[in-house]
Amino acid sequence: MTAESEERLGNFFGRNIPDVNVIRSCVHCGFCLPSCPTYRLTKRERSSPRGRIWLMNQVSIGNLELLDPIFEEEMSLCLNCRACEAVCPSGVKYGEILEASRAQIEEHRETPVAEKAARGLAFNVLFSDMKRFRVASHALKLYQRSGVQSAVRKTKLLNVIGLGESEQMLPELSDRFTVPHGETIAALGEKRGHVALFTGCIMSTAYAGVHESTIRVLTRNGFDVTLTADQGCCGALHVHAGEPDGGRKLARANIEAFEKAGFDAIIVNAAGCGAALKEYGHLLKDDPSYADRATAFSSTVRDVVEFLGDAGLSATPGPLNWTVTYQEPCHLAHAQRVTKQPRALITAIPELTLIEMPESSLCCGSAGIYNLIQPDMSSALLTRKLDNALSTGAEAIVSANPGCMLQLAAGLRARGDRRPVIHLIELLDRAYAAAESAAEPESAAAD
Amino acid sequence: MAQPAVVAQLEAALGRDSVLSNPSELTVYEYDGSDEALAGSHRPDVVVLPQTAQQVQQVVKIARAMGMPVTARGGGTGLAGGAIAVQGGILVALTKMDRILEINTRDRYALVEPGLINLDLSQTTSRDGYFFAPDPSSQRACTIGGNVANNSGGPHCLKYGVTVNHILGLEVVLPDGELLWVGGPSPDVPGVDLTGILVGSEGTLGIVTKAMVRLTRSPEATDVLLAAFPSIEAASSAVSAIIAAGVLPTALEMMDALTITAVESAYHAGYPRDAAAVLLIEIDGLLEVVAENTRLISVICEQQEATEVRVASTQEERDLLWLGRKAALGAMGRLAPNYYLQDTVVPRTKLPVTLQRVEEISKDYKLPVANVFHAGDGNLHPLILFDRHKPGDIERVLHAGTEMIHWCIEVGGAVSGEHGIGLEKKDFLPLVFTTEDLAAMAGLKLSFDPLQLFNPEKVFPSGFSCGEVSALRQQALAARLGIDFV
Amino acid sequence: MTTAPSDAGSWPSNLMVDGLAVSKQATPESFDEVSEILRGANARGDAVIPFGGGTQLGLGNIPSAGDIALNLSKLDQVVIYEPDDLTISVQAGCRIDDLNGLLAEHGQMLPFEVARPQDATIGGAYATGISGPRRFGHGSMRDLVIGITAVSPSGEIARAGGMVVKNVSGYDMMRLHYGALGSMGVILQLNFKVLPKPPAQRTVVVRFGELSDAIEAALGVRESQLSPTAIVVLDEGGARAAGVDVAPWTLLLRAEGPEDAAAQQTARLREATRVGALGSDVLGDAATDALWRGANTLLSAAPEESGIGIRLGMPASQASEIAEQLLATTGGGSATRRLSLDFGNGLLFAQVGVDTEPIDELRTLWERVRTLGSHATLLTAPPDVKRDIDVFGAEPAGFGLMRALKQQFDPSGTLNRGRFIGRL
Ligand SMILES: Cc1cc2nc3c(=O)[nH]c(=O)nc-3n(C[C@H](O)[C@H](O)[C@H](O)COP(=O)(O)OP(=O)(O)OC[C@H]3O[C@@H](n4cnc5c(N)ncnc54)[C@H](O)[C@@H]3O)c2cc1C
Ligand code: SF4
Ligand code: SF4
Repeated sequence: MTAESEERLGNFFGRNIPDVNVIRSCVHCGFCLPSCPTYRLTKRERSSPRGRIWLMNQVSIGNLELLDPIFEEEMSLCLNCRACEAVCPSGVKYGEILEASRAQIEEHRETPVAEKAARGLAFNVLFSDMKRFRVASHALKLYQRSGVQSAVRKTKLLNVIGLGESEQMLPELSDRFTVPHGETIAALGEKRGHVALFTGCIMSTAYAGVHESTIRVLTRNGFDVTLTADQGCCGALHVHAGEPDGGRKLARANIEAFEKAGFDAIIVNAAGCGAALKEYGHLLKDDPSYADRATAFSSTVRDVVEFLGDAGLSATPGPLNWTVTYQEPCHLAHAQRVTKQPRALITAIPELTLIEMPESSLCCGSAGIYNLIQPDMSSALLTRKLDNALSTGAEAIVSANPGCMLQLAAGLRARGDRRPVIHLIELLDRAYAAAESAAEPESAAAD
Repeated sequence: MAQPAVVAQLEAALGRDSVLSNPSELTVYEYDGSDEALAGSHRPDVVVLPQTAQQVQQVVKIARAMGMPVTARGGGTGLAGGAIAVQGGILVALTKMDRILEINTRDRYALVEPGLINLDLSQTTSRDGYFFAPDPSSQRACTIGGNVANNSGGPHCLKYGVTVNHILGLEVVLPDGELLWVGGPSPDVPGVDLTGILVGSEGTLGIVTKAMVRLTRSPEATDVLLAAFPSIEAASSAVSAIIAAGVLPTALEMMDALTITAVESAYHAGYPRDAAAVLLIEIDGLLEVVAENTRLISVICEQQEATEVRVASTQEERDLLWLGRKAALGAMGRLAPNYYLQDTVVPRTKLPVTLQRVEEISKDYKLPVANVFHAGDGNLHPLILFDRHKPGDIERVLHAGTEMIHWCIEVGGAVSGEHGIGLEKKDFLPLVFTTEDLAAMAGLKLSFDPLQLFNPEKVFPSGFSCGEVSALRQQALAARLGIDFV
Repeated sequence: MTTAPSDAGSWPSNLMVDGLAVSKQATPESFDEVSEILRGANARGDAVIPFGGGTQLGLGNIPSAGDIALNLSKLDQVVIYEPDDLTISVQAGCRIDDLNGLLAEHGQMLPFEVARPQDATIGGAYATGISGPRRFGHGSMRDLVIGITAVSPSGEIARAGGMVVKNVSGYDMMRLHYGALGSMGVILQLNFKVLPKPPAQRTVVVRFGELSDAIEAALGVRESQLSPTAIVVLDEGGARAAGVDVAPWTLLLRAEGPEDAAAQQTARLREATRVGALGSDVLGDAATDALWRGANTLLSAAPEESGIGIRLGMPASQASEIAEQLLATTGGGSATRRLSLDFGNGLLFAQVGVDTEPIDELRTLWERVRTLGSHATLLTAPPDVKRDIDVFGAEPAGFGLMRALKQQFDPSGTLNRGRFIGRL
């Protein structure tokens, strides 16, 4: 293939070239800067959304090398938290051009052999097959119990599957796995609809308990819940890390798994996965046999918090005399723009007090595999997030994304703080449990 | 690229992390909020990120010793290219100096560093019932230092006044390296009003390192009215009628149909999509006053053919209406890839004819123009929409813009109401000011900065050399006397 | 006390400024004439003292020379007035009362307060930069000015700003001349944004026995969401000047707005200042005007033979402490005293007269009080008191810059030679 026949945009070339119109749609107004976690910490223009877009622009007009170290570093330092996108008045699709730029860099850079192998293992072996993933996670649990941690600590396997900083909190890993076989759990009371649960990779291993809560809360609110068989990892980590092909493969499999049944909604309880699933349409836009199906698929995806918040609770939760604070997962607040529903659901719980933390929408530094790639920035963000969260005096931190929860829990553990980090849906589940225990003596009396 | 010696000195003074000299990281300091095709862009030789006033002072001393220009930069949201280092040299980015040092509600002031984001200040003081009144639409991203330098305004400046009315004192580094405090918590400090002179000087006279800003007490009551009109003329007559009736609202903003479309597609703020123009009117103050004025203004709007007058009753509704307005400029990206924003001001009675003229110019040049502006002040913001990558667009835009400015000046207006002159508007100044006028301004510049190192090539028209100002003054005087006395 | 006649044309041809007789007087009738006079004087090295109504000629250091008194009272035209634009452009010699008379015909106003608005000119008021308590609600001349025309000693006429209410085109040369005592140029014309005249106004007059109670009440109002346009505490002398019932301490609160709103605010203000008060009254529209005209005589910077006038600046929270110290310093003996504490803005005006050995006592008094606040100005004093002190207090920060400005704008020292701060 000659250079001329290749697609080229300045110094971007080959596949996955960022859309020049998106790059140009930034009018450098600067509105996004204060929302960007890496900018807030560094106050350097290059580490801001506007700076990054300008760098992409410079590459696209041939003023900057694709593999310029500053460009590479910034593309990697970005959390892809999309806080910038949420506030951009011009509607610049930042995530899209970031992911394309990362893919470009991945495609053209000389990857050190060891890293290539590790990435290959992670992205092509582990995440591509849920069985293998569960096996690996089993090994983890064994590892955790066996106490031979130091041997494994140096491998980056933990990090790769998003459990990097979380060694200290491994005891919180669920003992159960959620393995979807196509079963349906029936609604309690009056039926309001039929939904499918997207189980994902990390959620179904590390946080299987959240799935159980999700199923209980949904059925209690009148929804049949199906655990669709043959579904897999959402592919978000691949796409964010500049491996869009791996992501596409997973996307196609998921579309095939879900599209036939015609559910009212595909429910996700991990914000990161939800954001990725909602973007399948864009991810597969150039795949003629999947583009339309992907768009249709994406349009039915709902975060569980969004879904319940919009549908309204048909069952009244019981009281929880807690003070909590809510940490907004970037991929819920920014990528999916879901900010009102979580608050509405939390405050629907009687006797519970919600105290908003400062900068609640600032990234906690977890961001997929970010804590592996940029440990310094990640831990600086975590410190800031925890300082903000604890300043509220809350007894528990509520979130809605496994990555954030792992990151926050690890941070708390490191501080010797025993406050729990719980998923919003678990919080609701507990409130329903409270309702039940309150109701029991009454119903006994009625009998 | 900066000479290694300069970089070494700067690093010794500020630490390595605070001095940027790699060309790839300098490139992101080439622009500000202005359109680079219109205002220009330029790469600084070196960027410093000082953390204290003393560091700024050291930077200025090094620059002076090396004869290097110095340009201050805040949030980089300026729309006139003010923060662009046209001659290269040292760009002083004040973003790391972003602390609130003191809040004193008893004496109604806050002491802040220049890199503090405008909105962060009001959000912090609102807990105690106070706010910083200047509220540029860019307030979530612009800095207090930038506000001071540009004497920025905002929707609420109709009632509360612009930045200069809210700056009590400043700490500045002067071009000779002196660190100086001017002004203070009580007004009318004897001597020349240096605070007043520094505000609005666009970083050409001094670099602000601290600001003592006035805090305003939050009003007891606030109403926001949305009035929809069937034509721009009706809306602008309503503006004139409100002003003439002697009720001065807190804010009086206008948006035309094109703007409504952009804002609605971005934010769903609830503006009526079928209106030719809407007015967003805020009234605040004592409960009784607000009730009375809201009533009066509603009546005036209805008399001026308003098709709908809505009063936002909850904080949430008010915020949504304002969000649409505040983000309107940015939302233009949804209509066209680029916009050229004018910031002219006309006497308020000239609004109706001026808006007509703007529409004619839009038609003449076949360029869509959206209007979203501070109607109560007569401060227009026609946004000429275009696509920089379409051949010929830029030229047409420049011509259209120039025609608008000419018109506004003809009816007694000014080149810029709040965005500043910077690079982008400096060549329009001779339309309003004579050489004698400009020479007096140059005198101010030379008193502060005889070597002209601070933010060079800004404010004064190209070809106007401050250095030759005494010759220019004599020529100008001779010319006038020649007419008058010969 | 010397007073200036209302008709400036009848000034003795020998204008006296701090004991210095200025032999020549020029009364130009056009800007070009002013330019011409200045150019000539500048070339000859003559010292020029510009003046308008002559009501504030007591302000400033003793001139080191005075050859020509430049009388600007004939430049008194309203150049542009567009009521519907709420803007006005007036020549410097226009009298403040005349101006407000015209504005009132259109239901508008400029809320400027000086000691003698019937005589004081707009240019003179601007150059002295003394401002009354009502700026708390409406802003001062500095806040409302939108344009200026000034002439340099070498004769160039330069404009800045314009006739629109918001303008950042070019430097704000208006700031250079505000409070600069005409030492950077002669102000020829000023443009202002005008305000709608509130339909109604009232003044709440609250009498107190103790200063601390009056101050507590004043601070309480300042921190509330009520919006009086002026908050002032007067001593007995001050109350006499204002023409209200004399009490040890009097708190004045001005309420302006629509008829009903003014009435309701008045009631709320009374309620809010009840603690420790001896009693209170509410004055209506006309009485309010009269009261403030009287109270504002304390802003005077007229030439003075037998007493001194002082202005101190301070953060409002320190006003109580500073007022107590001032009382201690000026109390007792044969001193007569008039005191006005402008709480809204953090300024204190005091006039003190002494019978015996006036010079030394007054000097000592000034020396004591000038360090009390964050800044101090000796507004007015007999020439002998002023002799070798700087009436603007200590050399301020940035004096080097002010000197550079003077050097730039009046290199030969033609204008008000020696009168401005640091004897510039
Ligand atoms: C979408 C949008 C909307 C806007 N809306 C408004 C509006 O409603 N009203 C308005 O007035 N403006 C508005 N602006 C313009 C701009 O935001 C203001 O001028 C703002 O005050 C600039 O602040 P900044 O911190 O971004 O300054 P910068 O752009 O970084 O700099 C502006 C100027 O200030 C100088 N400067 C910066 N910091 C200092 C310092 N510490 N000391 C000395 N000089 C300094 C720079 O040299 C430059 O000349 C808008 C801009 C955008 C992009
Ligand atoms: S907010 Fe949007 S248009 Fe503005 S700088 Fe950021 S990305 Fe660009
Ligand atoms: S995605 Fe997050 S980290 Fe990346 S530029 Fe946007 S706001 Fe910053």
